[in-house]
Amino acid sequence: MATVHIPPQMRDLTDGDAEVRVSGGSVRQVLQELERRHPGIADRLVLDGRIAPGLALSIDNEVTSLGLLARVGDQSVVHIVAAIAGGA
Amino acid sequence: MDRDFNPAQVLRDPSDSYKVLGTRPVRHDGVDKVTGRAVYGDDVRLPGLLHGSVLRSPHAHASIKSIDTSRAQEHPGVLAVATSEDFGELENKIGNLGEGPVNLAHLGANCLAARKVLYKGHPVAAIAARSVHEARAALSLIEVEYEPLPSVTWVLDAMKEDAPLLHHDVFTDKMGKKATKPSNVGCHLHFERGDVDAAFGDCDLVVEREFKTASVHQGYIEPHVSTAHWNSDGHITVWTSTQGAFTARQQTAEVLQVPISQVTVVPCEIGGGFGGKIPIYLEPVCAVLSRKSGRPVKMRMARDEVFEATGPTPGSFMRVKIGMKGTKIHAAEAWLAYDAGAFPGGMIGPGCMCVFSCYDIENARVDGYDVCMNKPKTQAYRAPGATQAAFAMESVVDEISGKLGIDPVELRLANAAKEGTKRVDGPVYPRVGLVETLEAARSHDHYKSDLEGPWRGRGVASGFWFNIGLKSSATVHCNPDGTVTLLEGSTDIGGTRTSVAMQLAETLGIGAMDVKPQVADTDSVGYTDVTGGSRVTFATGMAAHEAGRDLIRQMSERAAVIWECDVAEVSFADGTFSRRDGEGGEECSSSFKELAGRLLETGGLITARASVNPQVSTNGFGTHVCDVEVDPETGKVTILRYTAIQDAGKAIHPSYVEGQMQGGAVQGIGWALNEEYIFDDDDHMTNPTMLDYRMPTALDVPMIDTVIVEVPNPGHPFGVRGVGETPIVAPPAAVANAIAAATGLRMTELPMSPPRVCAALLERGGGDS
Repeated sequence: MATVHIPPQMRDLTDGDAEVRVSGGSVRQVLQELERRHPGIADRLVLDGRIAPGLALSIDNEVTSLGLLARVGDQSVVHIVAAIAGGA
Repeated sequence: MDRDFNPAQVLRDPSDSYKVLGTRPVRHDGVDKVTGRAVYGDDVRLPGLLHGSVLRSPHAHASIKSIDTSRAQEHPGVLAVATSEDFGELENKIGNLGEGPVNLAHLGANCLAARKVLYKGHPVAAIAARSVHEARAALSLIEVEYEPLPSVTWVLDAMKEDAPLLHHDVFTDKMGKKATKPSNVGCHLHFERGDVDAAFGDCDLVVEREFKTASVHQGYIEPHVSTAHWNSDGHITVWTSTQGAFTARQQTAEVLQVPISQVTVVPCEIGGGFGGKIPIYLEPVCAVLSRKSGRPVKMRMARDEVFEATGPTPGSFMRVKIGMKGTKIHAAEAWLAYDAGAFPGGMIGPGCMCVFSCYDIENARVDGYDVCMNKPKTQAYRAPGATQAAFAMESVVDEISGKLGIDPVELRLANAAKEGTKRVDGPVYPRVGLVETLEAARSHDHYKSDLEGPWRGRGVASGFWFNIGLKSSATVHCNPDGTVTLLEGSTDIGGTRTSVAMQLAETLGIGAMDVKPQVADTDSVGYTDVTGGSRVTFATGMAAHEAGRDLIRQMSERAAVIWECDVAEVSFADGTFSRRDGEGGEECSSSFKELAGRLLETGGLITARASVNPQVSTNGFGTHVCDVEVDPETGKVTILRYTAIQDAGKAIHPSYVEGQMQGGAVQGIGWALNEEYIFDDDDHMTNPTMLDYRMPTALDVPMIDTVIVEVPNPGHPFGVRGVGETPIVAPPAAVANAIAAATGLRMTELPMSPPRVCAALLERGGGDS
């Protein structure tokens, strides 16, 4: 199962748990499982079918641009981080 | 200054055996650039071209009660007038622009204000006329009735409960949890790891300081300029100065509410962007004026329009607290509030993630706030959000090194982030090169040399930027003379045509000048994200490498046809196709050029292509060393010597890497010493000219020495890391630390301009260095 690290601002939804282990082969499936166990968390992370603006997901230490479609491995570690914008 | 060392060193990876990479060929676009033949946005001339001009708000904050354009429309030479009504009602919809999301209603309202103006210079209406003079004259005939509102331009004031409210539909977002009351605070981010409070209680030394930084503009030399033609068949073509043609296409289509296939964006040569030319400003306005007039329309900004109405980087207020246990950073806390400008969605996210990114810290906490106020919408500027945070963090680290009596490089080495270090927001670094840059600094002639004389001091600071991947495409046509044409979608800023072409040349075993690179429009090459995030040499280079491999595969099939063998018997190395001897077959070989000459007879010329989307950050680190002299009478700070050291992974074209390091360092020195938006009591910018907004010139800085450290990136076929942004991160802190060494004064506000340094010296009562 993947390990999802819950940032402090979302732990009100996980009874204070900083980590949740969930199954799912994609971000979408992982979030569905998270939502089933901790109702309300998907609404915080997803807007209009995409990861909410200002947020991003790091899977195995790399920020994905594939959003809900990104693959999640059985031993993956998922972090919820801030979105990055760059200069040049 | 007499110096007997190499001012531009490359510390190569010893396993490096490349033939093209690491060399310094002449840039492919060099002749056109130096002869003036290169086509920039303002060089676009079309039959029947009209010229547009923008009416801008005289108020920092006001409601628009009415706009009457009737008199302007009657003015001689005027063919069209536009207001926000011409965009239609834009939804509060989030558009994903590749490098980041944008609220499309905010984007449209920033191009032409709807209902309210939010900063002085905010566009209100636009006119297209036969000449720019007629357009400007007609602007004065547009009658706008405003209701002025109280304004705010300082971040802490804008956060107050009773601050003038910019938007009634912005509610503070805490990772998806919205406040119930409207606020100027667009979002509050919080990251934490370890037990921070307990760790601070366990420290031998705690230092806490507050810092302020000013709004700073990207300062590109070429102002924004766009031309659009809305054809009678409904197709819109836009020629523009942009960092991302595909992003400009999407933004323009969204604001105009037309299908994306109805828009073609032709990227012109660009005179700098640094993040400020990712958003659109003029493009949809030109298009609307073109639709209404039936003629192509060009618009260009004057310098004051660039300053007053395009994105500066955020000003900020920051508080950083560090606790030490021995020589280890045991606990850290940061509170960051960044300007978002007129609309939410600024640079606070990366600021939060970068503030402690150079250090391995077990217990850390960061709070960050994105705050709307009556300034232009802030935009990315080279490592957006990181430079502010590094100024605060690296100043505190420097102060701690003084209190502990430890060399500042040694203190950083004792705490440096490395492979396995976990950032405060969670991700863990792969192989990174901060330690190598610190070691290079420690052994550098600059750091080892004596600095003598009164009022002189040396400072050191490190910096980090993520460097992103994202999507890039490349198309390669093989020509019968053995050259290849490379089409790419990345606007060339800083020589990327050549750095990408060199990677294709290395792949194909041909010379760099045998590749003919061209930057293509959005109809002529595969999707490519912006030239930003230090990603082009990394990601577009990867696409060129992949396209090269596709070309080799296809050419191997042709070789098999010629040699009457199975393609599996054909191999390729060092620019030569060969057939293995064996199984009765004849041993054959053909150079790339020879085989290219036989493509027409074996089925025709070959086109290869690739699109990539690497999901990686390349994690760039740098360390800078700076010597200054402070004039105690005037407060003027002179940079005596400056050395920038950076891990580039593999420096494809070392001269361009050095150019990025030097350019970033000089821009950072500008932040450090002079650059700032100055506002009057009405929150109007008082210095919107290059004369009064003081950017460094060649006379203000010494030669910036460079050391490229090569720690290959395992996530790229040639080991490339991004290099463009990291070098701006360290300079303000390096300069501040040098001033502290020279004067004993810890400057905590940018810029450290002569009046501020003088005031600090006077407050201390003068004294010795």
